Amino acid sequence: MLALLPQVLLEGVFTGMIIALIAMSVSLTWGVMYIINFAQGEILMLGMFLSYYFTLATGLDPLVCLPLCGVVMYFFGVLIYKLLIRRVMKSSTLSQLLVTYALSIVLVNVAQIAFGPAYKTVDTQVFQGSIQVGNVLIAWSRLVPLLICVFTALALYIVINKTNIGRSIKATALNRDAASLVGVNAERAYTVCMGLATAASGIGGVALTYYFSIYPSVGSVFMNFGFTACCIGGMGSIPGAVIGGILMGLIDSIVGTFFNVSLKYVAVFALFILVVYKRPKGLFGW
Amino acid sequence: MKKVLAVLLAAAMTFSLVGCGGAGGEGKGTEKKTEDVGTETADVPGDTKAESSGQEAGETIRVGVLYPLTGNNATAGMESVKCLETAAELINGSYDIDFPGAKTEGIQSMGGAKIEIIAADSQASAEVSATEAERLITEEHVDALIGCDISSCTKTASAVAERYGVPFINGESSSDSLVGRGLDYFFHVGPNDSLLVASSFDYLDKIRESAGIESVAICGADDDSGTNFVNFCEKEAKERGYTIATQFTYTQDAATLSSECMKLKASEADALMIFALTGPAILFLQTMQDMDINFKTMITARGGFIATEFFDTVGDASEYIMTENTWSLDSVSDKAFSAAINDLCIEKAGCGMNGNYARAMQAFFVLCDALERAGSKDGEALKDALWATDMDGSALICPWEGVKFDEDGQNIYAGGIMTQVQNGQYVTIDPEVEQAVVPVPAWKDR
Amino acid sequence: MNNLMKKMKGSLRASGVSPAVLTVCAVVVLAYPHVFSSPFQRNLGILILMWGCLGSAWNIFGGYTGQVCLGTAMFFGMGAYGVVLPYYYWNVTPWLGILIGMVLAVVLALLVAIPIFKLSAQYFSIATMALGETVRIIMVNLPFTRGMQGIDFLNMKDSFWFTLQSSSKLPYYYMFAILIGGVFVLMCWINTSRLGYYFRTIKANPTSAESIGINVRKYKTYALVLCAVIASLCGSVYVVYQAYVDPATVLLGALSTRMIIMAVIGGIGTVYGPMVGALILVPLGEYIRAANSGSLPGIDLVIYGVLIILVIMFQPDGVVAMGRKAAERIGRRFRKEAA
Repeated sequence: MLALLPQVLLEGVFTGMIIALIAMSVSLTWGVMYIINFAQGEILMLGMFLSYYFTLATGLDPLVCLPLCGVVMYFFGVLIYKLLIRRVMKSSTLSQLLVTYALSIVLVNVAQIAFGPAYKTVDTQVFQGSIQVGNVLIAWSRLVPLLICVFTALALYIVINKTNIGRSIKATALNRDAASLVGVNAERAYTVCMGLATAASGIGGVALTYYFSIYPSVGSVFMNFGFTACCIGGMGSIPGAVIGGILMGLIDSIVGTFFNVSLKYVAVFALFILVVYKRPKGLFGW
Repeated sequence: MKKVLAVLLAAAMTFSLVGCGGAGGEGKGTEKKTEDVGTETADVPGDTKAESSGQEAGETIRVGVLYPLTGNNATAGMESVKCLETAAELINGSYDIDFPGAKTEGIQSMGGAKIEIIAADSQASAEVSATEAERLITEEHVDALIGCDISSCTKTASAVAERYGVPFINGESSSDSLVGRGLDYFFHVGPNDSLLVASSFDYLDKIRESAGIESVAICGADDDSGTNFVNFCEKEAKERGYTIATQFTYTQDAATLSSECMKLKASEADALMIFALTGPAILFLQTMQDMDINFKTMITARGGFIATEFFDTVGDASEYIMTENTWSLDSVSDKAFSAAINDLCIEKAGCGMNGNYARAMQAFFVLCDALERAGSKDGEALKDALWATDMDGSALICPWEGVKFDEDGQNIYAGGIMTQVQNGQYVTIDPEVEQAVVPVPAWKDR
Repeated sequence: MNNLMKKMKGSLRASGVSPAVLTVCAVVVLAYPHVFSSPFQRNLGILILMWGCLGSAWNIFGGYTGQVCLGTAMFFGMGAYGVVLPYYYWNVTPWLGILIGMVLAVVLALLVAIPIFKLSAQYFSIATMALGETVRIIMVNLPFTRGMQGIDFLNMKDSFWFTLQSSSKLPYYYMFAILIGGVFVLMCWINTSRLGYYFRTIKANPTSAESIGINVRKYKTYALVLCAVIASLCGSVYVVYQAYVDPATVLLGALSTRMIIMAVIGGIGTVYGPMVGALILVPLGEYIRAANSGSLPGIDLVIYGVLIILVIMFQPDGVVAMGRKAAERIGRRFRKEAA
């Protein structure tokens, strides 16, 4: 049993990184705009379908469509912001929550009508199989999402912390009115923020096609975990989202393998409750 | 001011109630029925019966089919509906296929009455299934019901059908809890989980020596079928002296199955007994491939492992999977109509038959047989005809010896056949054990 | 007793409910199943009343106190299992089961209150969602709940008064009618009582509520317990109506969200809101599904979702507020004409 431990830990990190992919986008909209976007999972799903149809049309590896997906989803995010979110920014938390929830219902069912309910997978061409390191087996189908996650996290971190627009997003997040006073265009900051979060989710979707099948209601599988990871890490914190995800993945993997598989998500949620009980703002929340 | 509001509210309420009433009552001009049904406990079945027998024979027979058309199992549900529509077409139209009812148009004893399929969405929920079954019966006035794939949905929907005295015929749900409920209007054409699990283990016994199988890993989804499957496997394995290396149920909508697969790997079992719906089935197989988890044999309980999408998505990885199946083309190759009906499905429904669709269609043909004998679509007469069903194996699309119901409404001839994926499709490996590929080559060696 | 009646009358009046309107509403509710007697319509009636109650249950905690709870289904489920398990294993009458369910729900509410009351806004919502999901997974895996195999306990042999089982829908309709009547009175009372005032103060600003001497934690707990009790009552009645239970029908997260939708569409923090929301949304959902079932699966949910978005965007305070505004406009015109 113990011989498996390194593999189990590694699988935990892989699982965690997949959760982190969506947790980052949740964290961004939540931390900056104070909006819980319940449609985040469906954006992920759209990203998956985009990469599926791209692969189908061009016959290339889904990785090729990463930049394309990022751009398309960025503008999709801007569209959602302009059409929906902007109008409820000043409403209660509840209205925001329900608008995004209703949006998720609409997107799932439009996807079912447009793409059909069938499970689909893409043919990955560049990376297949697995690498053996000692007695640990690293599957490319896990490693690729992990790398994409690290890359996305870094990119987001740099954009938020090192660029002008990032700084204005951060300023708006801390205090919208004060930021507006010193000349930050809050509207623009929100638009970009929403675009970035959506693009990150879309990219997460492309990464997911490497190991998960594509179907209209796939988003709901990941969304709850994304929220939970984001809470553990603390809202608005990109590193927090990643670490929250990894923690969840490790618990999932360890409890699932060595204890009770059926109750592994109970353990994950117990960790979450414990963390927010001790630190109501999450591990890295401000 | 507040008064005005309150009056408006009351008005709105009354208005919407009237609105609801109007829309609901307009169904097919049978006001009498809508008023009668449900007013008094004892009257319910009687009224429906009186109502339907009052109608002239010779018109269309409405068959409600209830399947999940949205959500995770929507593809299987939609394909089931399409296959049933194809089956109805086979009966309604004239086809040059040597199958009972195919050459003639409609139900002969009812003056060539045509069968109309009315599909409804069960949303894979036991609760919605009951509501929709009731709606199909009382608003759409269906004469019989077929469905619902998922056992818990079949359970609640058939309870509703019983209350209204409408025959409910099920083919593909396999939960043991479906029969033995003392229902008069429920007929279970397909085999039960206990039987299917037992016959999988019978087969395992046959290859036990040659393949060296001593321990089994058992895993199933945490739904009705999965829990049943795990329990029966545990019982059979203990009785037959197999070591249970690991045994668990997993969460249906898991984001990853890696810890499940790690558990399977750690168990080092010889054989894997698994039940999964399509999504998890694909994920299990891919994760097992990625983690290089090998079993001498892997026996599945249908579910996602026989779905069309499963083969479309996993491709070669599906090779050598064994399934305790209820249909495969070669298992019924002795009947001339098998290939023709399968081709018709591919042409009309856009998908070939599999164990699930074959059982659903078989349920439909059992209904047609009963209609032909009853000469009436009246619930009571149809029920009696169904109880008297005694179909010969040569007239079945499933590889069974016949259809005959015991006192619980269970088809006593229903059974499974062991099949294995070879060159991309299920072939029968029972009783010809030598045709089976065991032990299965490791992932690396393929 | 007399005193209580007087108080109730007072709170009804203070909530702006005239006796005449109340009578009309009561008559409409009571007459509905006799006017519209098809099973589909009666089922619809039952669902409207139930979702009205559930929306109100959520409204007490979420609407008045401002705590956006995403896990209310767990109390609904407790009510359901509280009835089913004792009945199934020890043949305990559902009447007692309703009480057991209520106790279970209250205990669960008090347990849940420990971690979540420390949390703020969104963290609170996500935590309740996670807790709801946890309860569901545990109920799926506990051996004695039979998990997703479900328990169906249809029993027509014994007396209705013992089993609460009937093939007619009327008893359930009237049970829910009584329930919603009770909930309505309770909501009116909360609306005008000190409790309601405390709730609203907590919603407006917990810190200042604390500073003027309101024990925030205590009153939040009251609201949560009230919410749990109503939800569990609904769960109990619903489960004897369906005669079937499994965790997916009574503990799904979507149930919690649906309660919120009822309340928000109608108007949160109001007496009528959730009931009006249920009156609009439940028939809408059922009819769109009935009309489209089978032809283009999923389109019903698209329409449903789009409608919710439209209402929230253009009428964020809910339909009741819209009605009130329209009424005001009409009133003003009348006054102008009179002048």
